[in-house]
Amino acid sequence: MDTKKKNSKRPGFDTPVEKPAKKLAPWQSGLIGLGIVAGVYLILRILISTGVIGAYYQGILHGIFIDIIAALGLNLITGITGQFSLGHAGFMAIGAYTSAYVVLHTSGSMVSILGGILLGAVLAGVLGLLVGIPTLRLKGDYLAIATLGLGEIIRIFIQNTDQQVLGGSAGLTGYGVYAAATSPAGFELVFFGAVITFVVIRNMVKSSHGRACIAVREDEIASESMGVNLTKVKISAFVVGTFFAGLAGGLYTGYTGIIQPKSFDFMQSIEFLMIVVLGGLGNIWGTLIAAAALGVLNMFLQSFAEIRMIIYALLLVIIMLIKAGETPFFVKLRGLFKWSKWNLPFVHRKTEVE
Amino acid sequence: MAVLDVKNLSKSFGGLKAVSDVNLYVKKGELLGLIGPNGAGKTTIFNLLTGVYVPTSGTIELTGSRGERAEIGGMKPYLTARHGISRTFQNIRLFKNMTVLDNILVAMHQNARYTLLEAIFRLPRYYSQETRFAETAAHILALVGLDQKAGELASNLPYGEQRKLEIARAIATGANVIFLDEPAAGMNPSETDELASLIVNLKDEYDLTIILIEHDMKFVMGLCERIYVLDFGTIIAEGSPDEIKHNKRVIQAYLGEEA
Ligand SMILES: Nc1ncnc2c1ncn2[C@@H]1O[C@H](COP(=O)(O)OP(=O)(O)O)[C@@H](O)[C@H]1O
Ligand SMILES: [Mg+2]
Repeated sequence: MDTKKKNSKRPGFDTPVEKPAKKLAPWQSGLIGLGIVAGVYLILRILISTGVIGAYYQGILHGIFIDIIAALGLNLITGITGQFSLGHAGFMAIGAYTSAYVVLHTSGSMVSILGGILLGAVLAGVLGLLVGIPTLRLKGDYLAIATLGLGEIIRIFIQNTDQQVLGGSAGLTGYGVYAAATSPAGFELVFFGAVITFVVIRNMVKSSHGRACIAVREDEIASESMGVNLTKVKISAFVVGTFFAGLAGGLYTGYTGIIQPKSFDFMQSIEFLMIVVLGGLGNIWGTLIAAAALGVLNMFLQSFAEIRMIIYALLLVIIMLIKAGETPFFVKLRGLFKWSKWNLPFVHRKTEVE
Repeated sequence: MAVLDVKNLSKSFGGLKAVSDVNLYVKKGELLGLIGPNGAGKTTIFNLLTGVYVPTSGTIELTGSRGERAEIGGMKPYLTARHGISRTFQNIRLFKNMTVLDNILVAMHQNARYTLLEAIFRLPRYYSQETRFAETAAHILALVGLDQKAGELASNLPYGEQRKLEIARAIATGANVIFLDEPAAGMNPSETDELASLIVNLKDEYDLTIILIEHDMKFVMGLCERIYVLDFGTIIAEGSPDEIKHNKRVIQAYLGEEA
């Protein structure tokens, strides 16, 4: 076999490569994004100000935005980077208690509120860094157990601190509500909190760093052999993800007016995981939809807390059975039953191969 | 000049000595073959040279493009990759749920010069790097004939193209030493011929040093300039394809396996 012989025309070697087709310029897609955000904001703001969305439904809405923030963070860790975390609520607790503490011990002005929320997010991220270094070496089930334990340790630690400092099991209150339906800029806080979270995670995913995260999820050995520093990628995803858990915590503090250790238990971590899995692992648009859907479901099931957990458990089992992966749960179901051919714009048109 | 100089390399798994006391060298720009019966330890040697396994004993010295020397035995895979070493896998290990293009772009990640914060805030360096990445990736994909499939999921490619994508991905790291583990496995004769000329073309284009494992003797003998033969973890022969073809121990090892 004479392989040295040069073929007359070798595509790419001897003939020039066609330039890839230009997509939208960055400023164009940026403007479109800005337009969408402004549009959604104005519509919701008008509906709220005119009272079409009353205080009750506004409360539900705020809860959904807070869930979106936390779940997007978890999606980065679990869906995009493939690191199973069951301790997300623990990091949320760090943000919640930090912001409450700051607001309680300062003027309670908007500056101290924002400062407290930011500090809470940073501390959650720092803790994410500290615990990520040893635990992210673990794989699969072991990592899940370690993060589960960690979340519980945080909760139990807070529960057992001096009543005067963090309120013990009775919780903290008296710092006022700043992200609730009844506070003037409450809607702006949670809405723009969610927008910032979405933009940050999206920009991260659509970058070399995000691609490295997905590669780590897909195949650790291959990604490491292609020059991806596993530890660095996992830890940075964990830090960013826990930062947003902390942010969600700070907003949650101002949303409920009282925070207690039991609000940040294992079941809360499971709820975030539910949102991520229902929306599709790694699918950030899906997280938005799933958070909204679960928020509405919770509203209807408010007085049947036990039934809610049964429904969650059933949903989880079904998800495991149909292995939805990145495809959002409801899309997968639609495919299973061959319902009408809706064309949802946010759906990734990707086929799943196992 | 030797790019790789391997001395007394051994690897044991529990009681099993998969590689024992192997000495070999790889010259710069060489197309080197590594052959031997199944279970001889070929893939294990690749895993040792690329950092996937830590040697039980022995040294692996790499000479970089500027003549600098580094001991890479036991170095983590991502660090050997930074030293310009890359590879493909015997059982294809593509990032299945990523597009063909993204598979290439992941390999270029180690050359990304923008930070995570620059990406999040979409600073100018992000755009300039991404544009250059896209151009380089398009070029590499065109070389292996996958430019039309850039947007497809890697798992949707036919088998032969998956093998090519793995080679393209290895090249995209910017490596100058590339290990190919059974690149022609599962290909038909015409695909194999095409692959052989592709490998030669890529080697010329990127000035590569290539070490490959392959069972297809016609392929190896036609392509490689020099060959090592491995049996039970030790090197039993080294030489040009002609020398290897007529080597008694090699014939024995192969006949012994068939019997
Ligand atoms: N990670 C491992 N753990 C235990 N044994 C291994 C491992 N990797 C390879 N081996 C053993 O080492 C020997 C050589 O394997 P390998 O290098 O894959 O052979 P080849 O690629 O030449 O077919 C085989 O006996 C194999 O079972
Ligand atoms: Mg092998």
